[in-house]
Amino acid sequence: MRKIWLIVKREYITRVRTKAFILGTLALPLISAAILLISIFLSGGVSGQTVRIVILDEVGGLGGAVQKSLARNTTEAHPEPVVVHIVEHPSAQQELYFNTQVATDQLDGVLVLPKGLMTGTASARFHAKHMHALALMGPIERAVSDAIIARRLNAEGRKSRSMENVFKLARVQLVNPSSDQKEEGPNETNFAIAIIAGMVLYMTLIVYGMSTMHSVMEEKSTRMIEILVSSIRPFELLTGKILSVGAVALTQYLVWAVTVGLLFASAASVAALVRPGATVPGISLSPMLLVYLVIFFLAGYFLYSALYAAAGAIVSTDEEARQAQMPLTLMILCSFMLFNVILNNPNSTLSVVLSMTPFLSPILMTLRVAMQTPPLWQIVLALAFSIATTIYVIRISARIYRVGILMYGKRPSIKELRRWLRYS
Amino acid sequence: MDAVSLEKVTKRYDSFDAVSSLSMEIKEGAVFGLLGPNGAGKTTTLRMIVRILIPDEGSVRVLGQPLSERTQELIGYLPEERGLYRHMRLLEILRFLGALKGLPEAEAERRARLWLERLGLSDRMNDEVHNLSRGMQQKVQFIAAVIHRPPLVILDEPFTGLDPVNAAVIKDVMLELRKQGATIILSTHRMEQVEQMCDSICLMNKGQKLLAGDLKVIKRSYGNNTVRMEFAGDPVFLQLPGIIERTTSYGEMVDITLRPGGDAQQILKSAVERGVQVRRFELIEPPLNDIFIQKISERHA
Repeated sequence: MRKIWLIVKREYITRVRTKAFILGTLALPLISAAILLISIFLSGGVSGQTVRIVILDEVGGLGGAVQKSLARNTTEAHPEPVVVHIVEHPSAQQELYFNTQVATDQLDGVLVLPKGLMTGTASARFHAKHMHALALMGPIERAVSDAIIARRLNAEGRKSRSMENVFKLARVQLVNPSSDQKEEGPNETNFAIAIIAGMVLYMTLIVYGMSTMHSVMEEKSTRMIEILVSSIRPFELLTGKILSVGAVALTQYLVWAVTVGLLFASAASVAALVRPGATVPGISLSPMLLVYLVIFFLAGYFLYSALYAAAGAIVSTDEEARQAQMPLTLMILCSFMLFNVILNNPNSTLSVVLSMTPFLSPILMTLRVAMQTPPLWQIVLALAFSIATTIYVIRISARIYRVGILMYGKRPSIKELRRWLRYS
Repeated sequence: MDAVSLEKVTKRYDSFDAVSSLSMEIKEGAVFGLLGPNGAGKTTTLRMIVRILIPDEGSVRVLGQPLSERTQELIGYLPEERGLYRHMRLLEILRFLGALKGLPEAEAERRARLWLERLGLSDRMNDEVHNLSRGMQQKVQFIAAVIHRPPLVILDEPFTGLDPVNAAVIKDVMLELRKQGATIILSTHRMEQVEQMCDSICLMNKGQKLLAGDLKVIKRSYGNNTVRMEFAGDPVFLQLPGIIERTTSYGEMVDITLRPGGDAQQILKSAVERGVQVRRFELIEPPLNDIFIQKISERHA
């Protein structure tokens, strides 16, 4: 155990201080920051833009007050709300009609003031789907609150009601008309997060797999391996190596999670600073997704890095290394090619089967988790399959590694490899 | 107790036996020379002693114990194929390797400083390995082999690539280790080093033992059948087929192997007759080199 720890420590320290690691670690936060800034700038010339709204007033006589107060509450920083129509006591058909208009972009938003609004038993609903309309959420909430408080003061304020009830603020619920409201389907944000999560996994698996391979090759080509295995069992050395490269990857993940998290958390203030009033892409990373990302990264990483280590052990030159790592990289690429199947329908039979297939599951299951969390049993089953495969793969890899690290000649044929597996 | 004992050890590869049924004992405190032509199985044998390779048959014991992690820590090993991590600092790498051999890290670092000082590398201890010359790297590797004061030191071709000054420094350290009671196994092609340093030897060829034992005893058994001569003049006088088996020329100097019963005086006479100036004429034990060549070619014949 002590020796494995020594290996882990040495590899970790030498690796973390390389330029490649530092640059790679900084790249993602920098790219995210760039994307964020670009999207802030592209989020539309906010001022000067108008948002056409229809108010459906089920309470009666409240629509006008909201309209006036809305005009007072919006500043130059906001898109200008234009209330094109106020319908008092709308029918169900009318509501459906206007919602369809929002969905088809003929209208920017529908504000519904339901019956229970005055008593605080229901909240107002704002149906909208575009960023610039969403930017009005704050002003709308204030406008509705102003209007109902004013009404309560006028009509009932002098009765012996507690002031608390009078000043109870309105709540406005945001509704996206393009998605089915009952069954929450994958929306654009989930898509983006799923693809980003998939890509991060895909890239880190390849990068850290190759990293393990090169680490094995370095010990072989410098002949350091001779001294090492005279002090430590090859299996311990392999274990230490895989653990340390994994720890380096997790360090990178941690830095990424913290920096990108901070970035998005501070996005609003950044936006206000660079371009007041600009809207901010509402990406929120759920912590659960991060947990799954780490779990599936580890599942994939142990599986693939053991294979990459074996590949590193059987080769002696860079050219042989390129050939040997090809099938492994293709396997990872395969998951990447299957992104579409999952993105199209994460719950189709094909998606479910693929996301549980060993070698594919780490990336594809993460994709499903990011889009719409699948039943727990599927996640657990995928992990169980993956771990079983990994144990088997590590046993084979360790045998190849043990023989390969001391062979400096030509790359062995498949037949020779099979013989290596039998060497004691 | 023997420092190392091998009993009928065999290591098999696909097409050949690298080592076949090899038995030998190495006495504690000795400097032992493992000799043989390329491909004789020397490195395979050493690798089995340090437990890099596991024998297919037979058993190996180090200081009376069967091989284990514990015996690995009793051995210091300088492999023939050598190298170090390119991007580590000298002090770091020695601390790491010392710790792998069971030293606490602080102690490994303390000793590494002392050794670097002694071998003239203290001003380089924070340099990365790839900035050092090969000779310097080799000295670092040597330190790595002895830093944990192992009772058994195995050195595979320790002097190749070293200049005479550094070779002498390493030799001094080896003799000092021996004085402290360590056993040293030396594998080399350089016979004069073996003659200078080794107490006993084992000559291997094709995975088998050809000759083993105390160096002096071996040489004596070959008798004084060699004449070492230095002369000026035409070497034609050496064409005495009835007396001389063969000659090995070293430029100025020549070693002459006599046929059994050949009289050395005849050579001297022949030289005088032809007017050759003799500067040196000495009857000696055969050089190890001759024994080596003779033994190997006997097998081929």
